[in-house]
Amino acid sequence: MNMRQIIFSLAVGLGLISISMQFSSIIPALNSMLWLGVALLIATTLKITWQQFSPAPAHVKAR
Amino acid sequence: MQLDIVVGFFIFGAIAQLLRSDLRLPETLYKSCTIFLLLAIGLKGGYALAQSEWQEVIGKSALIIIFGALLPLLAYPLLRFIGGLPKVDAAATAAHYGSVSVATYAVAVALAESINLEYEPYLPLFVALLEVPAIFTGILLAKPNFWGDKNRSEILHEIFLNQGVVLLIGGIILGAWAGDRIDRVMPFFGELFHGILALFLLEMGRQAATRIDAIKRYGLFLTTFGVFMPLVGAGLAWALAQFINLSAGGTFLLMVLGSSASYIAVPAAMKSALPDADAGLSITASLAITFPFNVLVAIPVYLALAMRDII
Repeated sequence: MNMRQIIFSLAVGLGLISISMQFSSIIPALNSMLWLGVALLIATTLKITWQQFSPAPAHVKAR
Repeated sequence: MQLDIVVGFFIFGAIAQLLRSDLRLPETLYKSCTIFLLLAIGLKGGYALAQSEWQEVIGKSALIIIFGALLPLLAYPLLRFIGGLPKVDAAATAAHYGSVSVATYAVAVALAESINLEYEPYLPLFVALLEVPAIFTGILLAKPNFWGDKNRSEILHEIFLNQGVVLLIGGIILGAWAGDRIDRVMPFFGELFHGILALFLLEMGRQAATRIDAIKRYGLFLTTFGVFMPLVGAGLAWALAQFINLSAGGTFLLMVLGSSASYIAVPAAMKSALPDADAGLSITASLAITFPFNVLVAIPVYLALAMRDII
């Protein structure tokens, strides 16, 4: 996962969370999007952590 | 908001597959369900369309075609420059996201009918119209010299005469022509709609779950794209629905169409037009990510957004 993909995933995750939190009182169905945003953020964070700290060589990490 | 019973069948199919059950709808039955759903949507739409103002429908249809052609132009740069996909894969996947999924539309129709939400009778026509333009855009993005291609006539045949387009247009024409005589077939195409849709979704759930490994293989970017792009499409569809003055029901269904991605018509067209494209990539994104996202998460949100106008 390269830097552009990481930023894209983080932005979409944060976007889902912020929109859901702002409007879920008006539209309760948005709660599911909140959890999706959280899942996306966690998955991206785990992916970054794995890329940084896994024992794989640098050229594999960059993929 | 509670999920519709037909969505429960989708979840059931997915869980059965994840538990490695041998549950599987016979291929012929699955294809029969597809034919039934396309014809049922077309017939009902055609019957209602016959009572509409044609001038109004033609003007709106032109905007819908432009909308369908433009959606891949938004998806393509994301796939190409952020996703880093090869040109041909980015173009093929973008085409999937400009086209529509009839199953997603059918789920939305079932939900709208269960709460007696009325919508414009020409929405099924929009489904048929949205199937085609994105395929052209996708092909032109990958092959700007498409009109000089020696397989051009074969590709055009696949685009315009694929099963989805033929059945939808055929159903619309039959429904419009038959008028009240449609009552003689409606016990079959009307009463059984939800039951057949449930059966179809059972198999869709199973098929989506078989692609879990593919999602892992293609990486997190594809998942993010499969969630983000439907929201972009739905947002633009909402704006278009306001512009062409659709009712709350029409707005809801157009948002669902903008949000959905094709996994039947476009893959077949791409197979002949862009044979080098990775078909697994596009199918995984549209069937295993975007379809469940729409059915489980997005459709209730679109309904709530559209309904806010009439509450």
